[in-house]
Parts: sequence; C-alpha cells; structure tokens
Amino acid sequence: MRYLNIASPVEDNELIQGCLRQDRKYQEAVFRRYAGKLLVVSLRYARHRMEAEDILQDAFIRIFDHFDQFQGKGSLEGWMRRIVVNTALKNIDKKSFSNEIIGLETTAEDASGALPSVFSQLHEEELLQLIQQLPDGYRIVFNMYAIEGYSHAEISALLGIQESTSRSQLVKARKMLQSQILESQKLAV
Amino acid sequence: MNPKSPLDELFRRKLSHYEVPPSDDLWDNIQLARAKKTSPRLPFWAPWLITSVCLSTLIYFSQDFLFLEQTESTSLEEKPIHEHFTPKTDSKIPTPILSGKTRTLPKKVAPIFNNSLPPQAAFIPSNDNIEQVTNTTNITDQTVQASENNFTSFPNITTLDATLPHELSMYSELLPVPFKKKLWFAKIDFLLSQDFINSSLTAKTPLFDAYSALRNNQEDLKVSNSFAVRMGISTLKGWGLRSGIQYSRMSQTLTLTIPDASNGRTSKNTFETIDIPLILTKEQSFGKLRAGLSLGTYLNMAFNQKGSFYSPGGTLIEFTSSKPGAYPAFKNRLGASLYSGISLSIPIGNSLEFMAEPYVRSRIPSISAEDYVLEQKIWYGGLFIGFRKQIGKGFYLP
Repeated sequence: MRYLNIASPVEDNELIQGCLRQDRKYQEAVFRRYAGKLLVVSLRYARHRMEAEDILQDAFIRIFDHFDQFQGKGSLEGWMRRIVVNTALKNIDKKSFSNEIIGLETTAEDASGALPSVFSQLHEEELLQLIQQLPDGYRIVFNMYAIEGYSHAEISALLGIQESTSRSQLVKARKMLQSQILESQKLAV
Repeated sequence: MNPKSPLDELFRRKLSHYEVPPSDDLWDNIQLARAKKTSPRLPFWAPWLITSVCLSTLIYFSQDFLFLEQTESTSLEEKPIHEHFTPKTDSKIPTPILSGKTRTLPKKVAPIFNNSLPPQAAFIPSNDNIEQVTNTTNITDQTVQASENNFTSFPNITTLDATLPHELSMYSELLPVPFKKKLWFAKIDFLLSQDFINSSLTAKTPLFDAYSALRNNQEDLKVSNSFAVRMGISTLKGWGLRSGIQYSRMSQTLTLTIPDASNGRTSKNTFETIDIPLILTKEQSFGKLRAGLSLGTYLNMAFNQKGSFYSPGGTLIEFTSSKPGAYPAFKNRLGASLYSGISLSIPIGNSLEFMAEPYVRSRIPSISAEDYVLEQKIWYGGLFIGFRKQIGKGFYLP
C-alpha cells in the first residue's frame, strides 16, 4: 500500500500522532484528505491555479515542518487553513490596496438586501472564478472578511492598512461581484 | 461574528466545503522540497555543542597532564620559593644554544615569581645539568619524557607566575622541549550581570507594518539578570577559547492597548533563557591589570516565558509556557547572537582574579521562527562582574 487508505475511518488524532512522528505515510494521508479543501482556500487568494498550487505547496511544507506547534485546541483542518491563509498573505504586495477601480462608487452602504435567485444557482467553480477575477486588494479583503470571518480591525492589523480602507475594499468587492454576476447572466440570456 | 451580507453568506456556504483536486505531482513536489530543505546537515547550534563537549573533555582528561605540586614538585616544598630563585637585576644567566655553546645574556626577570607555574616553566640550570638540558638536538619522545622526570627533581627549579604567561616567551630559549609545545591554562569564570535590552520589531512583509508599529509602541525597555559559568583554555600568549552556560531572566512591563478598545491592560512578562557562549579571547597584561578583548557567539534557547501580548489579529495572546494551550511562538525557541566584550581582571589571591567585563550582544534573527510575522532585533548591553579561577597549573595538549 503506497499510503494509508483515507477512505478508512482513520481519525484525525491518529493522523496527528503519525505526523508528529514525521511518518511519511501519515503525512501523505493528511495531504490526501485535506489538499482538495485547502487548494480552494489558496485559489481564493491567488490569481490563478499555478500560484495557488505554489501557495499550497509552501503551506504544506510549513505544516509538516511545524506540526509540533499544533496545539489541538481547534480542528486540524482549521489550523491548516490558517497556515494556508498566512502563506498566501505573505506573497501579497501592499500596493494592491491602493489600486482604485474607476467606475465603482464607494459608499458606506453596500448591497445587503436579498439576492436575486439567480445568485444561488451559481456553481462553486463559477463563484471561485468570480473571486479570482477581483483585483488583489478586493479579493484579499473579501476573502478575509466574508469567508474567513476576520473583523475590519483584525484585517487592518494583519494587512497594515487603515480600517476604512478595509471597509472600502469590501464594499467595492461586493459591488464588483454583484455586477459581474448580473453581467454574466445577461450574457447567458 | 461579522454581520454578513447575503452575498457573503452565499460565497461562504458554497465554498467552505468545496474541493478541487490538486495536480498529481503536487505531493511529489512537496516531498522533494522538504527533502532538499532537510538534507542532512549539522544544525546551526552544533558548533557550540561540539566545542563545549571538546573543551570539557579536554579539561577533564588534561588532569593527567596538570603539574600538580603535590605529585611532581615535592622537593620544592622543602625550601621556600624565594630560595629556589631569587632574581637579581645584575645577574647573568648562561643561555643554552643548540650548537652546544653557551652564551651569557643580561638576565631579564619576570616581575612576579611564585609557585603557580609548573616546575618546567622556568629554571636555572646548574653547571652540572646544563648539558643535559641544552642538548636537545636528538631528543626523542622517550628522552623527552626522561628529561621531564629529571627536570622535576632539579633542586634549583622555580616557577613563574601563570598570570603573566606572555612574559615567558622571552625565556623560550631557556625552556625544555616539552615546554616549547603549546602550554595551555584552564580557567573557570563565575559571573553575574545586569543587562539592559533594547529591542525593535520590524515586519517581515509590509503587510505587518502596522502590527510591528503597535508592538514597538507598547514594548518598553527590558532589564535582565544573568548568571554565567564559563570554562576556558588559554595559551601563553593570551589567546583563549571559552564556553559554558548562562542563565538569564528578562523582565518586561507592557501596557497593552488595542486600537478601538476602551481599556488597556498591564502585563508583566518574563522570559528565561539558557545561553551557551562560544568566545574567543585575546588578553594582555598591563602591570597587575590584565585586559582582553572577547569576541564570539551565543546560542540562545528560550525555555520558559510568562505573560501576554497582542497577536497580529488584535487578540490578546497568552504565552505562558506552563499553561495548557499557550501560544507556542517562543517555546523552545532557538536563536543566536554575536558577543563582544572587554575583560578586565586583577589578581586577588592564589590563582584567583577579580574580573569585570562590559559587553554588548546583538541577537541574530532566529532561524526557528519562520512562522513569526515579525523580525526581532535585540541588543543587550551589560556588565559582568565575578571571579576567574585557574584550574591546576597548566597542561600540554596530548
């Protein structure tokens, strides 16, 4: 057997113990179990798949090198997700947050009403592509706030930007996503 | 939880469990990259460990080579030292030369004489023994050994003060062959220090500039106390190598105030480290004062810490190492620092010196903290005060 059969009910605890021993079989089992989900995380932050796989590779190296730092407080997946996000953030240029997209109005209020039904019909792959098409600053802030659950204060501290910049980038990201979705539906019709 | 728009919820719900299979070769690439990274090589702290072990072993086994008075120079105890050798400024010493002839030079006398050097260190050969001592052209190992045995029984052998070993170089022509090999002295230092620490934090990437600014504003001057035991060996000319162990306890008072938070909090943080120094020294005597320059490196191991600080995300992080679930940023963290100091010492007793060593030390960014978003640059400055004790009387390397 080349690696552990991850279809079998191997608990995370067993995988963790194996990885702590630097056992390659268990490391590969962790990779096979979580690489798909973690690649989606890196795809959300990267501009294209090649960059996403580079981020994921770096993240897995850090995960296996520093497995002893996993405290077991939360889930293994949550810990690995944070490492993927941190790895992705390392490669981001701060200038990304100063790029303004002309044509999008910045308002304190953003679209918070009910979404048209067409939105919920979108497939995951389409949503991922929409995120990837966002400018760097929008994409990062939208990912951190909307999906990872960071507050603007935390994003501000993590990215070294003003909170107002974070809010502004989020509003613009949402507007751009909405307009892109509506545009794509028009084209489809 | 952040207030979410329906759009946010849509993306979160659909993408949080979505999977995309990675390319087939990604696992192989990860293995390859890790193999390159972890290719067999000595860890960076290995030189300290190897040197410390070698030094300790050398000093331990060199006990057989130490010139202990009770075993080798019992004859010396029969008469006071000043009777063995009383320097006279106008006296003449017959100086042996390899041709077998002897010449007479005005005798230079080392300023301090006592019984702290091996009997071989200096001697006044009598007329009867001069040929035996000076005819060194055909000396083999066995004859060297035999000569050493003879030297110890010379009635008029005396010793020089080991605290001024460089002075002996002018008598090299007088010294027997074994002495012309490197003579080493083993010494041990017991030192206490009060240190002042200045640290600055810089973000590894611009993303964390704000965080580093926050930390720099909150962290104040730190003070630490250290206790060090160093063992070392040194040559006649004052070159030396020292290593040992040092314990330091650093205290820091932080007033932690997070942006947008109404209340601050004061945290008293302490960090305990075990350091292993590896220091090269060059010393010189100026009268009774002995001064030297010390340069070297420290291996730093942070093994215990207590307190809290703010994470990049703005949450309060407890890093007390004894608490379960504590943030592991500093746990067993290894680092290195560069050390330079000026040692000053004066003799206060038999083989005992009082010493002071002002120093500065700068921390090299830790190689084991790759995940940490900040680079810490730390300068230490302080004054070691303590005692230096010479062990035995000196030894030759085997």
